[in-house]
Amino acid sequence: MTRRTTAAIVLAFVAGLLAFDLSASEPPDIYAQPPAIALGSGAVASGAHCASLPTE
Amino acid sequence: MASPAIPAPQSGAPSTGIRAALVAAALAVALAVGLMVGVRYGLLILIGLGFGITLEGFRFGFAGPWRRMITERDPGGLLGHLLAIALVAVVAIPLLSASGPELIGAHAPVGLAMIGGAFVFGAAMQVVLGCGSGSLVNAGSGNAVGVVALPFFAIGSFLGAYNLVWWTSLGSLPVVALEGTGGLAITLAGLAAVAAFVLWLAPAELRRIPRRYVWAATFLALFALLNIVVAGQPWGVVYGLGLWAAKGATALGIPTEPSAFWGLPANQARIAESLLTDVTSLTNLGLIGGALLVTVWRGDLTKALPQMPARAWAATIVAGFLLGYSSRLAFGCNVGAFFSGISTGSLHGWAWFAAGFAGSAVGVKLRPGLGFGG
Repeated sequence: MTRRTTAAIVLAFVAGLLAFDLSASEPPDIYAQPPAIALGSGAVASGAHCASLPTE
Repeated sequence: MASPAIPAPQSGAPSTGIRAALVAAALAVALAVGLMVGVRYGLLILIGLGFGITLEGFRFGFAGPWRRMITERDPGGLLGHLLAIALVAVVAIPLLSASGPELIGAHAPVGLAMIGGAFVFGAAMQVVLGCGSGSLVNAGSGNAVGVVALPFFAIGSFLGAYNLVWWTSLGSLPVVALEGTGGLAITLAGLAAVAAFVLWLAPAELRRIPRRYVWAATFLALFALLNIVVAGQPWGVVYGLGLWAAKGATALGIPTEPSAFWGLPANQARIAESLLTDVTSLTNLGLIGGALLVTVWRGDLTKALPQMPARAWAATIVAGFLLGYSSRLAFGCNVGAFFSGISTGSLHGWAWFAAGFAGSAVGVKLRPGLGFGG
């Protein structure tokens, strides 16, 4: 067995994850998208990060 | 991880047409996300691809270089890490000080669970030779250990976050963030001191950074800075993986609301929203895609899978879980805490470095007994 098999498994996993996500999540609202670039936008950073405290 | 950088065509390497189609497919995915979800999200896919191509293309990771420093006193890769962090810090720390609330650093408190988590992460990443970014790159490149470890990494990250508040209540200091010119000077002095120390430890013939690591560090720093500028936050990995498992748990009817972490309104909203709007999920997916692209480009998919005893596969599952769980307690992995923490001035990044390296020294000794070989 070669890496073709494992790479195919990973591709299937990613495809499955995205398919599940798109079917189970609120549909993305293109009109509610944030500014393309955060720097200079003035919008408060709102993405999640592993270093963020759980109270935030 | 000791062979040359990107252009390494082998007998099984694909044709130019297939390579062009691969690149076109990757760009098409980013374009589709940009058009259908938002421009920022498409850009983050591209940045993730950049991370993956850099790490796999230059064979530049974290676990391997730390292992070589421990076992051979070869500091080349570790010096590459310090160079990349310094390059990011030179721009990021002043930028964070000068910008408004649209940019944040990877700032977290030093604490008992944080230090313990970093130690466990360091040990686990040596067992599977894959860290936060490395697990994604390994999976994307078809490395069987990485493929097995990744889902357990995600489950561990979800559960570590689930219990995070309890762990942090064991004892934490206030957040300490080095800011402005003074903060940058202290950070660079610290990095220089570590570099001088590892050079002093190394044998004379190994006191250098291989050229490919200099290139890798430069590209890594570039993409890390783009991550801050575009997303408003530094490069991270483990939140996204935990979110994937949180969405799976929700689909299975496992409640996330009782968790002091996942029950927060912001996290409940992210569980409900698409992964295509989550910063670290997008760069994680890009990382996997970038590594896969390089692997196919090189023709490396013809490599045979390793033959390992059952206990090595069992250890892979346990280590994968521990990577996820411990990195949440540690407020990040080698990426979110070590790389992004130090480069944005957080004291917890330095504590993570010390504890993670100590854990790595233990993990290197554990590996042969678990059936992985030397």
